[in-house]
Amino acid sequence: MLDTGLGAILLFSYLTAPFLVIFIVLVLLSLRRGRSREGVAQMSLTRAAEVAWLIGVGIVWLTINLFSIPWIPWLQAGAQQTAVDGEAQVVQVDAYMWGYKITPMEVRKGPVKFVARALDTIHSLAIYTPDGRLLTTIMLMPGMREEVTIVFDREGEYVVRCLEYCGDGHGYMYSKISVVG
Amino acid sequence: MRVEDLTDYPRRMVLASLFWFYLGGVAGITMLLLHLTRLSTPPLYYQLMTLHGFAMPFGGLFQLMMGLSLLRAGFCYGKPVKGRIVELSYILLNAGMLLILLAVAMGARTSYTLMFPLPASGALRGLWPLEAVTVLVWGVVMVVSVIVALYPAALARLIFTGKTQEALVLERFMGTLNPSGMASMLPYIFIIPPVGAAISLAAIAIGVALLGLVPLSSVGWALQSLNFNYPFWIFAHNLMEAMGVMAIGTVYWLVPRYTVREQGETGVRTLFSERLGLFAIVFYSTAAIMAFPHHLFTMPTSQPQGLSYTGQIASWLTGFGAAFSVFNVLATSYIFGLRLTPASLAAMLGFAVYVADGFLAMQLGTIGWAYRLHGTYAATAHLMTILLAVTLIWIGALYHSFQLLFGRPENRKLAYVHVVATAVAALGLLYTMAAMGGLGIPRRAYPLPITDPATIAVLTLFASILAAGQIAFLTQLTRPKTAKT
Repeated sequence: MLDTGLGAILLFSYLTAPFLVIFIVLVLLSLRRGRSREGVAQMSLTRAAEVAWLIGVGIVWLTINLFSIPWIPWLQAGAQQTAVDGEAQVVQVDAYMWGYKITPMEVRKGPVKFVARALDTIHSLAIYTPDGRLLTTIMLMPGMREEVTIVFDREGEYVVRCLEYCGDGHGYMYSKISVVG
Repeated sequence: MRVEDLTDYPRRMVLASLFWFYLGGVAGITMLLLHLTRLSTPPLYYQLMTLHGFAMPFGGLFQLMMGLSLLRAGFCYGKPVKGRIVELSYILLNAGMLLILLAVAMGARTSYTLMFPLPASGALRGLWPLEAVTVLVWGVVMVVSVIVALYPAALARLIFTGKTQEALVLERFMGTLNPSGMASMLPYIFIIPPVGAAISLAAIAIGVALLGLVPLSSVGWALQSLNFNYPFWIFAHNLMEAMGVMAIGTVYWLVPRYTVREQGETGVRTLFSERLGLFAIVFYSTAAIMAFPHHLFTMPTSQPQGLSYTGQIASWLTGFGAAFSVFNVLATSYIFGLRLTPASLAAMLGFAVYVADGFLAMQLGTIGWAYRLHGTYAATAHLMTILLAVTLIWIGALYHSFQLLFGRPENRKLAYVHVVATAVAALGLLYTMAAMGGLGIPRRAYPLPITDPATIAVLTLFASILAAGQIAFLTQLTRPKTAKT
């Protein structure tokens, strides 16, 4: 779940909402201390809190970065295996204002290597699963060719959309790929 | 020497920034209404989007920052904020923005990130006239010349040259390390000119060719999209980071000024740790320089993988810089006690929003997540929130200097409405847009292909709260001088 866009945003909410609550509580406490006659707070406790905070941040930092390594497209197990075996089906994609030429438009389940380019301006090749989840998005810049291998493990119609603003028809730029058994 | 020598240009810049904020804000709310009603055609929507995109960060926020940072440097160093460079910065920025407005009126709808080569390919396809592109490019050249050269030169001149005039010193430095609040201006001065030089030259070359002064073929190097987009993102990314660092420095400057107790026997109010503050600024700025490749993570073949790894690690290291600041700011306010004022509240709330948004920024700066979020509303959520957070922090600086700039104290009630409404709206927009991004909804698309009207209604609600806050500020500004504070 964490390797999806929705998972990322849920994690964002779970981490930042408590942070904001604690931050605001501490600001309110600071304002109360500002009105009271108490003296300067104990420095030694604050130093301990500083070390604890920085260690905590370091642990979150390291954990997320290590966890995210397998989600990098070119390091995903299926894609790596395919690169070794050379078994992927190949789909050529030409993106243009405001459509796609996809050849072929029907593939079998398993690894598929997309070879994509933009013909006129920046576009993207964003592939959505049949239930509407964004599987991956690739930016396409004119003059460059991008290759990415995706392992399709479900049959169905996968919607393809452009996520890079490319002019008046950007909102209408989409196509479909069928994945069959 | 008169106080007017300090405040004249900063006041003009603040007022001009409000014009662009309000114009961009009206465009933004109209865009939401068009999503709700679907009454528009794509060209009108994208013209509004381009106007909104240019007006808010450059005419609005950048100009607000320019005015208030020059004012702060002026009254801390006791030097007048005037002269050719300051004058030119003000004139060129607004003249450039007017040219951009004209280009949009002529039909240019490239978005503020230009999406190069969209300006050219759109003209070739007949979406907008080539003349509109020429006007747009020269508007951009003028704005960029202020950002890259004139403003850092004006700031450097105030900090490093000229004699201090005691009559103009309105606030003494506090702290021991030439305080970290002021030190946050140095990354801008030293980083932005070199990182912006290449894209400035490319823009000028294209502008000269569009005027027909040199053949277009002679600037072919600048017209290749990869050649253009790398310098563009190195510049644009570092500009946002430098503005963020200066905003954090503003929090470092403001919070100790609103603490209740003094530190030790020195009688000064400083951060909990000035050294940690300075270290955070250096650490953050250095890490941020190499974080720019995260904008191009999703080019798996064209962008070298090593550059992507560097981008991810650098992006997360900026988070460490922010973590140092979180601790320092909270420890300062808790240990020494905080006074509630519009300035202190805006600084603290702006900083909280900045940090919360920072986590989303790091997620977008993670290669694995970028392939699931780039180009969606999650990216819009991040960009818009970081700009709102930085704006809120500068609103704190504005209330701190309100009397100096406008010759009367602010009305507290209106000021609190302004600050709280801006903070609530920023958080509401952040979480709503982030959720839309998590669902894969494409940004900059009209009509939105996948979303329900309820989501747009929620966005409109928070945008209205934001607008209400700004109306409160407009009311504040237009009150008679004798009105109650």
